[in-house]
Amino acid sequence: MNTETISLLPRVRHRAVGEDGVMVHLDSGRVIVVNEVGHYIVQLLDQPMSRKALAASLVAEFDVSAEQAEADLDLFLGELGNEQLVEHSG
Amino acid sequence: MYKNKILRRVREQRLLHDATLELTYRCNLDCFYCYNDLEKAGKPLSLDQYETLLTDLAHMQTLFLMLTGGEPMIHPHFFEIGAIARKLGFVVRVRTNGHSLSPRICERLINEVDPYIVEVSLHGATAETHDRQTRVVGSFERLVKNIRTATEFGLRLEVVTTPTAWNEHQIEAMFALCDELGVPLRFQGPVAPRDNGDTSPLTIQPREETWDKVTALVTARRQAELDSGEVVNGLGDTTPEVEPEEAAMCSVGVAGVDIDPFGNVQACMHLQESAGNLHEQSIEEIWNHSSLFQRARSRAVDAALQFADTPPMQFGAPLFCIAVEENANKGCGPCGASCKD
Repeated sequence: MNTETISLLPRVRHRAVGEDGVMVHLDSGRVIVVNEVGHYIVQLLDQPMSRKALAASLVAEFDVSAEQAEADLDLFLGELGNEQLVEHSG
Repeated sequence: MYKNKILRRVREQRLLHDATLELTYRCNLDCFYCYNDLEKAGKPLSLDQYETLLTDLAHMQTLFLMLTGGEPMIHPHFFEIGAIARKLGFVVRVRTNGHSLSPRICERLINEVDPYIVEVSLHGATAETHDRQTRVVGSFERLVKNIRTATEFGLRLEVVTTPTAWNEHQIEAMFALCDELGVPLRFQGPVAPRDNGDTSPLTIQPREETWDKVTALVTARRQAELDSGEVVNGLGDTTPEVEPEEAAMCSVGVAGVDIDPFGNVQACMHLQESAGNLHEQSIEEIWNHSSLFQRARSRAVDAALQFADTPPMQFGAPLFCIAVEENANKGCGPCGASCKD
């Protein structure tokens, strides 16, 4: 069974600014803007969560199929990974 | 996207994006040109009130938090306040004179506050010049030692200096010192009157040519960084603006607040009119209902119109601050008399 969880790195801060979200990586100083759905995911990542639980939350919150949620989630988590904003454990 | 979309939205929708907490006006140095009104009185905010304030600010989605003073680190609850800010997810900046950055304090800063950046003040490239301003013998040697310590601990530092008649002959030397220490140097100014209208600090205003030199040096160094391929900062933004934004001299009144040690909420650290007091109202009530912020914004817009055709200039510095203008013309102190007339 895959028990891997994903969470924001401790030195990442974020807030909602209107309908978007702003993330700041304290190590690099980089500021990243994410859309409403992205910021919803980022807020969930304040606590470690499995990919499956994240996808289920997206399906519950937004009008989207499970397949679409998982595809979009993979893309977004890949971008967060490229920016070194998240860590995987388990 | 951040500068051209998000910050613009912050201003246009008046989203409280940053807050400055002046924790205390007390200080362990005695700077000649300190702008704080040391006679300003009131009931200091308690730790519980700071916790309520920070919780409210987090709820309002305020992102940036500056802890300053006076010397913020001599506030009896500095580390508790910093730890609350960290827990609530703020991007914390600490503005300090650097006098307290011992190994033990650096370790506590990292472990308890985890600031994004620590700004320290430098007043010259030698002990003679720096200590003349701080009026504390040994403060220069201690600052240099503390900067080395803080960088060894991994704190991100920025050195801030104000050109004065006392240090204007050491501009290049201050750059060289900071290069040797491995920390960036930022210039601010002009030398401002104190917030109570006392204009005596203006006697050490540098020559106008000094600002020309500073501007040229900063420009040349930035170009050299770009040429070498170094990333200057993480805020690079190539998103085009859709239409021009209303011009204003600064973002006063539309993006941030300053909170003095006694709970007065101001549009700016140096504009002393209070929009309300946290002993009586919440930050959300004050931000959403005080007309002071709109008035401050109007003044910043009017000031920009003054410089529609010419570059801003104030006491020789390439900027114009409405608070400096106000404080320079309010009279010499609490009596309010306009002695110049």
